[in-house]
Amino acid sequence: MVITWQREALPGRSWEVRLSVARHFRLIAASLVACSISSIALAQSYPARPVSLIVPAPTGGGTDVFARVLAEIVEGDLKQKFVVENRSGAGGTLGTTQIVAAKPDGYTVGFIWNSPLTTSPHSLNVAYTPDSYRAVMSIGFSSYVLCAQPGFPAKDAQEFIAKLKAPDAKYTYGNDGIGGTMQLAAERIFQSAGVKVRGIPFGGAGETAKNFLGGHVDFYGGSLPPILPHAQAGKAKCLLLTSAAKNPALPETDGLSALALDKAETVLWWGLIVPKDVPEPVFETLQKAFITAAGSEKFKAAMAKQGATLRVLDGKATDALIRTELTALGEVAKSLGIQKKTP
Amino acid sequence: MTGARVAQWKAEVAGGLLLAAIGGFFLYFGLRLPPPDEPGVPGPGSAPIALGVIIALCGLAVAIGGLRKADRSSLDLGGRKQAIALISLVLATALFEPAGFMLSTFTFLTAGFILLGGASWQRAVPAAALVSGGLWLTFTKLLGVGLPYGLIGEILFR
Amino acid sequence: MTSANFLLNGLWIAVQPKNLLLCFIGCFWGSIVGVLPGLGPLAGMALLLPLTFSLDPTGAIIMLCGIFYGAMYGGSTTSILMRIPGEAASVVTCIDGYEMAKKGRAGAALSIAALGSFVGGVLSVIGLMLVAPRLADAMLAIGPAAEFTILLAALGVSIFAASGPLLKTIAMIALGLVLAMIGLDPLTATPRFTFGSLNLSDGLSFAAMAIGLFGISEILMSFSQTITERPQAPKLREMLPTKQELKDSAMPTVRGSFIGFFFGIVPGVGHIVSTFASYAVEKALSKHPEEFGKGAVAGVAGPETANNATTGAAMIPLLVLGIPAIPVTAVLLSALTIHGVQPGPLMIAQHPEIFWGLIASMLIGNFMLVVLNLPLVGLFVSMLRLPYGFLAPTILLVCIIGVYSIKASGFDLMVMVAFGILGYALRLMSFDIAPLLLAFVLGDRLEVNFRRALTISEGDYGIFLKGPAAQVAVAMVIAVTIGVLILKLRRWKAAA
Repeated sequence: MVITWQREALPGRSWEVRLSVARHFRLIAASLVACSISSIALAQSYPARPVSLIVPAPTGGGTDVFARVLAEIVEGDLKQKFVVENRSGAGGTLGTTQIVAAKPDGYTVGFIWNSPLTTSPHSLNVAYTPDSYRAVMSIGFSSYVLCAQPGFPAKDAQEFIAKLKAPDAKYTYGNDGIGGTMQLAAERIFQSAGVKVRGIPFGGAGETAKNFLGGHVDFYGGSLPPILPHAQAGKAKCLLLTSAAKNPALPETDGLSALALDKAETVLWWGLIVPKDVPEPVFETLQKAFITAAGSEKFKAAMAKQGATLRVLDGKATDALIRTELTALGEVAKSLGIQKKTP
Repeated sequence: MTGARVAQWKAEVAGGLLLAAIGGFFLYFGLRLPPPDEPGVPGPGSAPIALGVIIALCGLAVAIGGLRKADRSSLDLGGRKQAIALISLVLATALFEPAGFMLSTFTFLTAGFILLGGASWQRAVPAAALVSGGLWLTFTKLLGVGLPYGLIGEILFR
Repeated sequence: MTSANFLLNGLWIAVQPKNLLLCFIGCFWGSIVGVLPGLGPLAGMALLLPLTFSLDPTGAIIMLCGIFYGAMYGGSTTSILMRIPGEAASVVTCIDGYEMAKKGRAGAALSIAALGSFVGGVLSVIGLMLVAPRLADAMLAIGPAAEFTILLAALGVSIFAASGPLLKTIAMIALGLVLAMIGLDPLTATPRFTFGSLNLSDGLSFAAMAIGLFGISEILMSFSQTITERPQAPKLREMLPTKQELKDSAMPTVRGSFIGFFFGIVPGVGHIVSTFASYAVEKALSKHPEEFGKGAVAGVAGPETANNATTGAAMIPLLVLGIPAIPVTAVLLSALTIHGVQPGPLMIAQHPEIFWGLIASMLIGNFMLVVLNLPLVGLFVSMLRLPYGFLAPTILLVCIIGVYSIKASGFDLMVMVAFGILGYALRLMSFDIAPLLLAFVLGDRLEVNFRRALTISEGDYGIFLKGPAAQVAVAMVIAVTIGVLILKLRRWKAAA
């Protein structure tokens, strides 16, 4: 049961009082409210109170840091608090579900990475599709990397793939978990190149790095930051990125272009989404503020320090990116035999 | 203060059977999980199946031990106060999100102070208001924890 | 420059007024979030993380580490006073710490915990200074196979530490392990026992379970007991530990420091493993093992020391390898990278001021914390003077808020209540619930590493004996098994 009523408290500022019995009923209530509130009045005052910025990742990860730096810059611009709330769990799908189901008034927005939007839907039963949220913008990407032990007899991507193709080749690589973006990124390349490597799933890139450095798996597969210092210290030989282009943080490492496999590119990227029915003026305000913030020197520096590449896209372009990636990764997951599993 | 009592051996039998049922539950649903991808490497169901069997066997052993027990002592299951504490706790947690922090905690504390602590209305109501208000301020303002607003919270603080 | 020079340099950095102030803010804030159930170092750090963006990297990490240390100190308070474990590391303290409080020795227990934490903290920082690179190599040598074997040894130890009958203890361990399997299978992403609920896909919340099993069940128990079995507020002059109590806690503190530091190499679960191990060792060495579970001083001093000593060791993977082993060090990592400092094998050479400044500030922070915490003992204990009819509903409420604050999940509240009822029932029938919680924490890594090792070896069980780390681990399991058997036999003979 949902009781919703509203009244004009101050001229030009509407507010409402609500009693929601269950969280997912909020969506219905909210769409009722959204229809009745004059959206012009809302835009003039937005944001009139603190905005919740939901991050479906744990505190301290790359996604969380980007969200916090962005929030700080946007706060100064819009003169309102953006409170970062970490809602991690189920590969980010838990928090994403909350963002999508939130009241579309612009006071709940979500800062996400691509995995819960384009990867998880292939292995988990999620309650959203690209039609149930709206992408506001995206900030850029970071590629995954495959590294071998320092003594591995290959010096570039070509030789690496050649070694994997050898008839007696029998190697293991660590990844971030089955059905995760990293695994799909790696398998997509292996498939295109026609090689087979035994995947060993770990709890995250840090754990993979630890097991790779200890010699328990042959190759490291994961994001750049955990392996970067070890590559610099000569403890790892990084041979192939999952992006088409090279990365300035690892200038010696080939991108997929070196193998003419540009089309198999899978990267990790970040962006802002809101529930579908957010009023247009609010959407515009958010898009403008976050695109400006992402272009600031302060944010550029934060991106560079994490080895990420700045590439700011607006809502429309981000939405297109999500849809293409969702389809492409769906095909990889299907060919790997990953299916939606029910208990 | 004493409440409902039950013979020790009966409790052991009931507890053992409950444990065996829990083991059976994990065994049953564990068998329905997908089989291992390759032979020799345990799959998602392997460990739950093994543990389900161990729990079930332990439960049965406890139940049999209870049957053979010569001890005639009895067990205090709890009385009125436990029932009150439990029911109010269940209500407070169930209403925490829908009714909001203020309403659920104030009601819970008032009821608790009166029924468990034997306080009078005149003392319980202000104490409950003070404690719930203080906790609200500590957690939301100082620690930045998001607590459910609910009706009263929306009127007072938003 | 030698290490001593570096350390002096570090001390000079740490005593800069700004860094001292940041260290104090961190310790103070950490103590607050540590005392509140549910909120832990992670929540405290998340809140102050944006603040560190405007600090220099040394100051930022000094403050964040202070929170980590402070929360570990504060974590024991609710365990001792209310039998509510703030986090996995203080489960063991609930056992004898709370029993001491029932005897009116709450003040002594809190003081001993604070002193033990101080000694453990300082010794582990010294260890960090001396053997960090070597310990880092040992950590790398532990692969999935060796990790599985080590965790198995830890479970064996908990059988000895438990107070209940053997059959019931094994049942509790198996139950804890199987409860850990609820959620998405980390290796195949298959949902297990979730019945389609996203709430269950990450498994049951440890905090909700632990607060339910210990805290809620204790309040339910306390209403059927006579008034003397509730925690008693000590008289003012009985606040401090007696000479005998200090004497009884001296050796456990020293042993706890070493156990804690070396169990820090166990990935991810070092804190809970080291506390259980310390408890078991003290129980095994004690002349009065029957006192354990009834308020033994050594049962508080050892584990509390081990807990804080592990904290120092937990910093090693971060500082030497740049790999965070626990979520807390992941926050420290991002605080450093945001400033362009990349922890890893080159950090000590490239940024000696951060490494040595941090080491020095940890020493200072531990000193600050013991000075801060000892006077607070009196304040915390005075809460026990409140009438129980007032205290009990308030404690229940703080449990609710604490559990809710972790993930803002109404579902976790239901988990807490359900486990409160389960804990009450289990305790009535003299099942020991501590092994259940230990098994729950270890269960996930135990199963996953077993399967991961066999995935690497393609089903060959020989991998559990491959490499020095795995062999040492197997030797450990054998030693533990024999040790437990001998001690059980000896006790059994002595009783006969």
